[in-house]
Amino acid sequence: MGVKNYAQQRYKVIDNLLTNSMRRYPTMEDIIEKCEERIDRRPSFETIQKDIATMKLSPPDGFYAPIKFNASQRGYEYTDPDFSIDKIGLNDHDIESLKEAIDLIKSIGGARVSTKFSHAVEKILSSYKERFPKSDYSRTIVQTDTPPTSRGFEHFDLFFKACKDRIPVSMVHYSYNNRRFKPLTIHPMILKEFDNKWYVVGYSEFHDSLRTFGVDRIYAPQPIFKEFIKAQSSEIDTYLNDTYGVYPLDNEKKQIIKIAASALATNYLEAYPIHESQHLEKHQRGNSTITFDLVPSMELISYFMSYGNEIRVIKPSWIASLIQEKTQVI
Amino acid sequence: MKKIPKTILFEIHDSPNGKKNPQLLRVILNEEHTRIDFGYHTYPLYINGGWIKIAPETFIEEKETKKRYLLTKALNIPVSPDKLHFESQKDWQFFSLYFEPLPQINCTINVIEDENPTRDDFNYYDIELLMQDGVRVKEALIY
Repeated sequence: MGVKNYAQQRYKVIDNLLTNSMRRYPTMEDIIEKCEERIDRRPSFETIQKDIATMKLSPPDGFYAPIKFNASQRGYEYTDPDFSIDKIGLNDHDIESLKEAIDLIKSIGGARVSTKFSHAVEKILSSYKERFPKSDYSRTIVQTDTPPTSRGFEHFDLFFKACKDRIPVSMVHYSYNNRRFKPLTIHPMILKEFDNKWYVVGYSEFHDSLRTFGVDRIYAPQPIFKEFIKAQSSEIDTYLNDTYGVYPLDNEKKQIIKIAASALATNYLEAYPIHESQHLEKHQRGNSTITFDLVPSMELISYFMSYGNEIRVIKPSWIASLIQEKTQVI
Repeated sequence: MKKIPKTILFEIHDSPNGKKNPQLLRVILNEEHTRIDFGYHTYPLYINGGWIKIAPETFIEEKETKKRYLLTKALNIPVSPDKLHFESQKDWQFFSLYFEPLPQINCTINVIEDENPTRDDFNYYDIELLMQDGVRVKEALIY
């Protein structure tokens, strides 16, 4: 535990003693003994004197604590009997910082921020609104892509808890491709967002492997009592970090993917790399050759296709052929 | 303190009597009701995918004792004569039927919408529920 944490604990002990109306005016010895009893460390006389001085300071260093030594009672007291450091609310600086952070979270999180969090924030700010009549809390400074709430998003909290507490979940999954429902038990490990869509990644008992499920295709998830099956962390890393998107192609391993990008596509890929393995070699005309070390995914292929003629896959040839086939179908 | 009823869930992976649509997906037993989850997808036989509904007389029959457990609630499917009309031949619907509670013992059940069924009725036979195959639901987080 850090020195600062011990100091915080001593402040609490001092505050408890000074607010104890049954035994008023604690002496220096009382404070030292109580600190020793509560935090297992006996502070020195000088330490407590320093603590009291700090508590008297203005925030953020102190608490503006009205501590005084009462000579006639030979002990310490709060001159304001209603004072307690527990009653200290957020100061102006704290509130401004909190508001900025909340604005930012709302901007980047939008509808994706849990409703429970939103309610908690509202509760905190409600008591401070009168102190900030000119608040520009509702003015948007940062705007991100925040789509309307999607189907299945109501399960977000359940899966968040299941991932956090490692609880297996029985659910019904509908496959858009096969047009089939399937009851499945999954051991959820992570919630992942990609392209404004939410996915649950976990071990699927039916598939006997790590799988990704779009929350929009999940019905009636039920947490169940069952031993949680945890995937190997190396497996999860490969699954999550070595893939662009969420659906790695079956039976494909991490491999070098090489593309030729026009000058226009190069500008975008240079500004917004799509994966940390991306390596870009720029040529004289502004075009480039770009390599990725990735497990091929449907999202990667769609991404290349979205650039039309501006991107050409050089390697592996099967991705080039697949894109050609798909382009012809469209 | 109110006793929390024990809830046992069965995932049904092989569709009973080969009926694929609606698919019978899960059976969930507790002391208050028996819930059965189904999934239905529309197909090209009907214009705009047609419609679905459930007969209010639908019941679960315990095969051995012939005891019947009546339908008490339908979720995401209208009870006849109301109908849910689909919009396309590629639509789907997840729905649940609630019945009077089955005992939590090994048993085989039939789900009967019509005792003289046509092709379109939702009848399922010989669904075996062995308690050892069920898993307990964490009620505090129930759907």
